[in-house]
Amino acid sequence: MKQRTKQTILVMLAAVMLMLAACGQAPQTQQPDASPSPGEPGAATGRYIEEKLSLPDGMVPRSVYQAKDGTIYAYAMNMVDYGVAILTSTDGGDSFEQAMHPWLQELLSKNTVDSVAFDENGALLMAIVPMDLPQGTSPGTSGEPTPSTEPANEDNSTPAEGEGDAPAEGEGGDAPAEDEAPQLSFSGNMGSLQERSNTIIRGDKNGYTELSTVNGYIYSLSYGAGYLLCCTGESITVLEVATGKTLGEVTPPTEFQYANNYITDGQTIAAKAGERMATFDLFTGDLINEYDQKADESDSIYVSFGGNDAAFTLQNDGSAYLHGDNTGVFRFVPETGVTEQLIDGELTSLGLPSCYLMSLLHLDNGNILVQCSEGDSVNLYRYHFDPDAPRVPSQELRAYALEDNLTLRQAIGQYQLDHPDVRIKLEIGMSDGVSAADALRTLSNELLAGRGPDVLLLDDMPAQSYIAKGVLKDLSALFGSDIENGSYLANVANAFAQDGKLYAFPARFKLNMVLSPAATAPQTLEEILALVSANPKQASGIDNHNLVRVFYNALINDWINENGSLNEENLRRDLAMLGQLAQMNPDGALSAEEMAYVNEYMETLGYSAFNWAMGESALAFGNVGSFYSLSTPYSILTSKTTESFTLSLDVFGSSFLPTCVLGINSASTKQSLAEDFIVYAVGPVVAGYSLDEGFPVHKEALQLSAANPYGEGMHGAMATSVVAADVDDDGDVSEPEMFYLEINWPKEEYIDAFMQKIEGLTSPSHMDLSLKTLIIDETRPFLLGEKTLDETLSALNGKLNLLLSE
Amino acid sequence: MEQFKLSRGRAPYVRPARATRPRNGVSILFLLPSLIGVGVFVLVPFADVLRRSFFSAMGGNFAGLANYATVFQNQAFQIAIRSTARFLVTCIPLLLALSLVVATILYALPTLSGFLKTSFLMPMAIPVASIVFVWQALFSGHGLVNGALTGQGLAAQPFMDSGQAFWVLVGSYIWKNLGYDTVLWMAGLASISESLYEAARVDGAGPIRIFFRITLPLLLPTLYTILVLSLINAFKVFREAYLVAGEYPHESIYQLQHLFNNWFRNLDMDKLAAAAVIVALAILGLILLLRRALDDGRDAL
Repeated sequence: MKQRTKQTILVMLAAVMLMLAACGQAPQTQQPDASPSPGEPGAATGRYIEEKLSLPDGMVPRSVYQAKDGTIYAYAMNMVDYGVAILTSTDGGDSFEQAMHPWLQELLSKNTVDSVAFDENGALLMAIVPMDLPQGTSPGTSGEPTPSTEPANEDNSTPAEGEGDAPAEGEGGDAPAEDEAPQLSFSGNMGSLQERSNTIIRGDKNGYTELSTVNGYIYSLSYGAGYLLCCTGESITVLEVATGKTLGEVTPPTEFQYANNYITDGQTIAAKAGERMATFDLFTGDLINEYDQKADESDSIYVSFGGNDAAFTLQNDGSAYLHGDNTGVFRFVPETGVTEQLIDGELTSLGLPSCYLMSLLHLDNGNILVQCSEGDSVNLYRYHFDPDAPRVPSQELRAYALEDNLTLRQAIGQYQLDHPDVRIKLEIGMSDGVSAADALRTLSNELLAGRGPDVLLLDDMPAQSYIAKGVLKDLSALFGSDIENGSYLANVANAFAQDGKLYAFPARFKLNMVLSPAATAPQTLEEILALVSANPKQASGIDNHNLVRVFYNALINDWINENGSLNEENLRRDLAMLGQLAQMNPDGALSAEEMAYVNEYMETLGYSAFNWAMGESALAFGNVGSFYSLSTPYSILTSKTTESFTLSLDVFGSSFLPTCVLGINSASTKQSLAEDFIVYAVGPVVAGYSLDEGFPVHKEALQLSAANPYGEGMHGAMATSVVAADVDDDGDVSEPEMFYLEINWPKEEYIDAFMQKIEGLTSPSHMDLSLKTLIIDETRPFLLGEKTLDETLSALNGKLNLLLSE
Repeated sequence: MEQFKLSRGRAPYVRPARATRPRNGVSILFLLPSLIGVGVFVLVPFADVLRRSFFSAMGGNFAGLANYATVFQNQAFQIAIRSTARFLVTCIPLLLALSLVVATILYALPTLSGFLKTSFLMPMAIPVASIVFVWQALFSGHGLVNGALTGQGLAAQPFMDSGQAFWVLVGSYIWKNLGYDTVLWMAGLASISESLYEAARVDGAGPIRIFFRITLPLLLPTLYTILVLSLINAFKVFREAYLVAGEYPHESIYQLQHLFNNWFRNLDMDKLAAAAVIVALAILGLILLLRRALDDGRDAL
């Protein structure tokens, strides 16, 4: 009996242990979703619907405001005659009327405008300074296909260390004269910007009055509750509009300086910086409250584009703040600390990479008005809440990319706008500090489990391995006929064709180009070395950290044999030459601080061309990804008049780098939708946006992108600005100087020749990130003089052989 | 109790008393959770790997033994097998010998052994990331060791980009596992009856003779445990190698896990599965051989 009792107790104990074990390892069972799927009856409804407002032709709104009577006012530039206009809408944005205050045109003929706002009565508030345009924006002649121009001014020896493609505003400037010689010049240092004195004026149709003067560059004017905030970055000057009296100068906490915009309710100033928001006293600047707004945004896959701090405004009843960026529009209630998402950026134009939020307004009827800069235009979007619209679209597609990609985002955004019933979820593998290897392993897990993404952006991925494993669907039926009939550049489009099948399709491609004297235009690394050696300064213009990185795409095909093995002889030969270039480089390697500034541009021809134009190097070499980026080195080229120079594609054979390479997971259950999306993504709608990620493979889009967007003879309509500063050995940064380069769009003859060269491209570069990272990392110590060539090759060859033999 | 008598230097071997076999299935219930765990998380996945080793990468087509043939011809696999085997053959005997020496010394110093055991175990408690940091600080191109070398007028050494990387990895493994193995050896030493040593000393045996004739033979059961644990820990050293030298280190420390890791990244599941089966069978064979050898050794006592 005792034995039986013991056994019973043991069995019970075992059962309890089993149950406890089960509790500890509670399976992650998927609860049946009680809510209906998107599109099914009973699915959640209610979302903001986007409408693009129609503005008078050529009008680019710069500042928008709703007055207390409900009228929407916009200060707009007229791109037709380069004047300005005041737009008004009394129907909530359905239509706009154009007006012009009689005094405004005359005022602008003598002054430039730093910033604009409106008060609650619709009166215009402006910060103006007497006109004093930089000398370097003088107009110039058009370039020739193989231009001959003067050498760069030797006096301009300050190195250029950055590049921006933003057109200069230069409003009110003289129209450029065709005959003046173009030149690369600088306007003086940035310090002068701080010395400018702004006159603040308030005006309406009856005339204007001067309110006050404020020193410094006013990048933003914000009006609220009778006060005008004149923001110069580090400080805000507070003016009482009714009296014009300057009430004081407030210095926001450092984190909230240079905010996109400020809001005042008459007592406090509110500002947003990243995920933080703060209110501080309007008159003393003392911090009152600080809030953390992580909430909904932290889960977003979006990143902030171009350092875009959110557009920010007060809810129309003053009880909450609205802020928006590429992820959408959010409402933040300070009292509860809760942030809710009102508009999902992914489903609207806000999520497009080409869209940069400038401001947003909460209209008195509850609608939300967003001002977006998109390329060369500025658009107004109005969002109204539709309680019957499905909250989420009925179909979902998953797209995957290792790194963020503007073309893919643009394609997703545009496709969703054209197909409101489809949502495309973009997953970025290398977000949140995840390494490429870890991201790829996670992707491998998903693919093996049959739960992989539907669409793959194969840039930097082991695409050849995926093709060999059958991961990618054959796209030849999808694109074959279009490639044959010439809709796409066949030589580039077939970069991933194997055995008569097309496994991936590059939407874009980049090219290596060299800018050099025409007589000695180099076509090989050996000739580049010879050219640099013969130059008095003996500089390649590329710092030693980045020599391999810049030349990688051009040389990698020579380093890998057709059978996939390493060509040690070519690698040794080329590394030896790169080593010689490094030894000749007078500036050696950039410091970490300098690298942080130029990292994004390092591989571009535009960056290299600025160095060359300043007489810092014997040639310029880099990649080009659009006619916009080509226009910069082209303009530099045409600024030289006595010697014959060339901007040539005839370098390193006929290689090109496929970018935005799209493929479809062969195991996807939504192949039809994925195919439709891919065709759209590589088609003319998306390819028409110049996102500087490569020339479009779509021929029509390529031709369109080559057209001069500014019209013939519009030199001076745009300029590239470059801020340059020296960093000495102690890390001290010299006072920055601003350079202006007038951009001349390449001539038709040049573009025709360029197009012919493109048709002859044959060799796509390898794009495996592991290979690239390994080569760049292992060769850097050699180029920095820390290792010998033999030591480098000894280590590198072994590792490369491992990689290639796997 | 049976009296042992030393005869011709052979150490006595005491066969452990046979455990009483339970007469009912209650013990099965206790084993069931772990059996289920092993089944679900080890045996079933291994069966899937075995299946995949005969199919193409994404499981679509039957490939027969082609994957095995590919793996055996793969240069990277050959290098990985070579360097892994070299590492095991070098490290494990070295570790076993060193830890036994240290354990013997500590066992003879009972007053200090507590403190020293704790000190020797400290490396086990240090996170891998910290070890990697120390490793980099010591052996990188601009590390402390090279700093000391160049300070003495000697040439800096490419520790991680040459065959020296192997010895750095060996050193790391020995440093980390020495204390653990020492403790295991000491447990084995403690299980040897003091009366045997006393009897040996009475019979005139010196310390060396006692060590080789009594201590070592009686540690054979412990050796098997330590050997298997050391083998398992030897495979764990991949973490340090990966974190310090990345996916493609110098080939002397390019281990099987590097290759498997990279194959998985590139979706080479066909090769990965075949290689995994080969390695599993090799390790299983090795362990069975060891077991057999130890059993033979014990029987010979």
